[in-house]
This record gives sequence, structure tokens and C-alpha cells, in this order.
Amino acid sequence: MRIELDINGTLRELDVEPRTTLLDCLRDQLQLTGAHAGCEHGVCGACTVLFDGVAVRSCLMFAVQAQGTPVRTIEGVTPGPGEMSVIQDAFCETHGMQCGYCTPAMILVAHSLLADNPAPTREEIVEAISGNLCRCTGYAQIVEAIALAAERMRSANRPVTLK
Amino acid sequence: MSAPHNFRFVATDRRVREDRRFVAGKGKFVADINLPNTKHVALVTCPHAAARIVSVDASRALKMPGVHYVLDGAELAAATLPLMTGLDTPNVPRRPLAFEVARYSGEWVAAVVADTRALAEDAAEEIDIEYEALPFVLDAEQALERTSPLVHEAHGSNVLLDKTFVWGEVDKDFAASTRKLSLRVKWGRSSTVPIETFGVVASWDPWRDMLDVYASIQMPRYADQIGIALKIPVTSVRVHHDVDVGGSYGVKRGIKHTVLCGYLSRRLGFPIRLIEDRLENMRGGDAHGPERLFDVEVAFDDAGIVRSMKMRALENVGAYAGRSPFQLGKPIGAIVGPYKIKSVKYQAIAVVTNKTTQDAVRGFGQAPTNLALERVMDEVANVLGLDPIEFAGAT
Repeated sequence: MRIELDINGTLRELDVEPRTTLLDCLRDQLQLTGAHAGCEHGVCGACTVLFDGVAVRSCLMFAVQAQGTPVRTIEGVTPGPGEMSVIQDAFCETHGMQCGYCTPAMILVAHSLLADNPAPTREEIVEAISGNLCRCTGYAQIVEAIALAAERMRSANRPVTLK
Repeated sequence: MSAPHNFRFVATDRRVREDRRFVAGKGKFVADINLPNTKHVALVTCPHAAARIVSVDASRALKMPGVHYVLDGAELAAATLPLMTGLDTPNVPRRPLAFEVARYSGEWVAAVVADTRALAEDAAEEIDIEYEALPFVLDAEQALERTSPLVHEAHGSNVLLDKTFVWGEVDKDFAASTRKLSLRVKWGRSSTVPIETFGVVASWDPWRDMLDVYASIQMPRYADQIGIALKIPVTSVRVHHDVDVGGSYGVKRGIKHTVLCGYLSRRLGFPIRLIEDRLENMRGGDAHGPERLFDVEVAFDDAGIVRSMKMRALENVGAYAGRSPFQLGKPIGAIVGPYKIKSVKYQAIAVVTNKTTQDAVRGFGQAPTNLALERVMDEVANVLGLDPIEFAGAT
């Protein structure tokens, strides 16, 4: 069937089978391979995308269900070739990953969290990433990365007091 | 040794080269590799713990649109050699697809090749396999009994390996010790379950005699083992090491997956891709960890000097020899761990059962042995009324 999706701010016209998941559509038809398949039944969160700004699992919805709602993928939050967002940079700073497979999803969750809550507590960060599994890090440096990104975003453009 | 304040970290804070691509979703994992004209594999798996494969009828599947081929174990066994096991057990062959008999629930019985993974999965449901269920054994101790069903009938028993190592004068030290204690310790089966399942893309170029392999791999002698099984020179296997691995923790071995895809690519003339789904990964991905039963006996005195230890390790390796029997030998380099024990007898037994085959979960030779050793030392401390930490330090 013919559908139209709003992906990273661009309208894309596609032919999909009704059964095609949003994840398979992004990866196989749009070559947006930053969303990863992990469990394909909503447990691991590696396929997370932002659906109208909310972090959702793209393996648990059909591509056709995404019509009419803006979808943002990791490719859409990356400012430009070789350029990183504050959150992406913070993950590099704290090395909030090892194998990197769950990382794009973690960063999208962090984007979703910090958009609503510029000063999350540790508990709020932990709650936000609680739907995303990481088998390498033990999570500590991921939590650190999100806290660091929040701190940096809060400090940006803060007025400087001159003596 | 220098005082602690004189120590200095050699490293400084620095960034990891790979992180930039991972945070941008620009990693290159195996499922991101997209060679032109690639066809996709889905697997048909055995629903029984043990069964004779009476017939495989793929006629309905082969009529479905987009379906190219259905491979069964008989064709693959005729064209390839069994996978390397590192044991002298020629009657326990391990192959990518079950041949004549399937030996665990989830074992791969047939592979479907189609234009997309979804079409291959549709077709897999249309393959009729007739099974004759066989008696099975799941427990390692039962597998040792004479009356147990044989997992590999031609092998004549369920024992793959039974070796005893002796260091020092065990009997003499036991006789000289005033106290003895025995303990049974079980290390249960587990797996490390990387978020990325195992996957491989194999592409045969008949004009260069070259098999290009892209895989989520952590495997020594990978190219050699593929070449041997496919009966092609190792120089005809080119493994691309610029593929990011989405976690392994010991289990990303994938020889059987790669031999299967390599054979199909040579047979059919296009790149073949197999990305396990989570069910294939957990049932037939052969990524389980050790399942080991320890019977440990120690001889010590009232002062807490442990003179001697007898350890028997019984490993339930599953249906075929993966790396498991081999890794029973690994602890012999550190059988007493950090302790001083004058003499040791270590018996390592590996038996086959109708469970999933194992791989090297977290370098699994040593950790179960350490558990058994530490448990028995704690027990000695308990018996003597000593603090386990102080006792361990003193020993």
C-alpha cells in the first residue's frame, strides 16, 4: 500500500506491505540503519525512535500507523556530517557505551527526556532509560552521559556576570 | 613495591575512536551490510527434543513467489565436512543443519532462501517435515547411566570426554588429614544474550574463487574452520573485519551459520544473508553457557590447612561438542585458584544430552571452577567456625 511518512522533517512516499513494521521500513526502505533490531518484540528498546517527540519502539508499530505523525530517528538528531549534538558529545565524553548497538536508542531517549526536563534527577534518568537494555556498560556511564548533557545544556547561553 | 601515593595512572582521559560513529547511528553492523542482489535465509527448526527426520517436503514452499531454494541437512552433509570440535569423537559430527536425526528442540533442520526475510519466514511455515520422535535425555547424571537414551547412537555412549589429572600425593594427603568435607556445587546454564543477535552475509565470487564474509564475529581460526568445512582453501575465505559487533561476551562464534550461508552462496550464485531473530538466537544459535555439576572433597586439619582436594566436574554440553568439552581443560592452569593446596585430583567429564549446544559464554572455563572452589573454602571456614574472608586470606 501507498503511504506518506514524515521522517526527520521530510515527507517520504513509500510502498509498504500492511504488515511491515516501522523498524523494517526505516532500515530496509529508507536506509536509516541507526535504529537497530534487537528482540523484535518490544523488550530491548534498540529500535527506539521519536514519535512526535516521544520515545517509542519502532518494532512494535506498523509503518502505516506512522502516517501523519512526525518521526525522528538518530539520523535526524545528528546536526550534520561529523557533527554531534550536545547529548551525543556527552556520550563520547563519558564513554557511555561499549559495543554501540543500543546507543542510538539511548540517545533518543535522552533527547526525549531533556526536552521536557532540563534538570533530571538520577532517578528520573534511570526511569527514562529503564525501557532500554544495554548488555555491556552496566548503565553507569550512560546515566553519567545524560546528566552531563543536561548540565551542559543548562549552562549554554547562561548570562555571564561581569566583575 | 612502591607506596600507593607513588602510583600514577599511565592513561589519561581520552575519547574512544569508535564512539563518534555509534552515537550518530553510523556504526556498520552486519545487518547494515547491503550487497546488491542479496537473498535472505529463514530457518525451519525441530520441535522435538530428539527426532528422526523421516522426510522433508518443500514443494509448496518452492512454489511461493520470491522463494529461491530450500536446503536440507542431507544435501548439506553430502557437500560439506562436519564442523571442527577439537575432540577425537568422529561419530559425534556437528553440522549446520540436522542430518537424519535432530537432537534438540530448536535445532536447524532446513534453510529457506527468499527475496526478503519476511518471504523466507512465510515459506518456512509451508515446509512439511515428518518426524519420528525419539527418546531423549536432558540431565547429565542420567546421561551417564547405562540405560540412558544415546544422543549419538554410533558413538556408543554419551561421554565425550573423561580425563583425570593428578598433582601431588592425593591419597597420602587425605590419609594424613584429620578432617574431610564434601560438597556438591551446581553452575546452571545461562547465556549472555547480546542485544544484536548473530548475523552473517556470505558472498561467493566464482571468478576469483573467493568467499567474502561479513559477520558479527568473535572467533579465532574463523576463516580456517569455514574453509575446511566447505572444502575450499583458507585463502579463498576473506573475512571483513570492519564490521562492528553488537556485543558478543564469548558467544559470537557463528561457524555453523557461516558454513550454511557460504554453501548457499556458492550453490545459488548470489550473496546470502542470515540474521538470527531472537528465537533462533536463543534456541538454535548454540549460544548457551556451561552447565556444570561439581563434586568436591577436601582434606584439612583443625588449624584450617587445606592439604588436598578432589574435584569432579560433570559438564552437560548439550547435543554436540561446541567449545564446552575443550574448556573443561582450561581450569587445570588454575585449579587451586589463589590458595595453597598440596595435592589435587581433577576429573573432567563431558556428556552429551538433548539440549542446545554451548559456546564460550564469558570465557567459561574458569568461572564455574572458581565458584566450586570458593564455595568449598567457605564451607571449610564454616565448619571450623572461622570468618570466611580471614580464612581465605590466611590460606
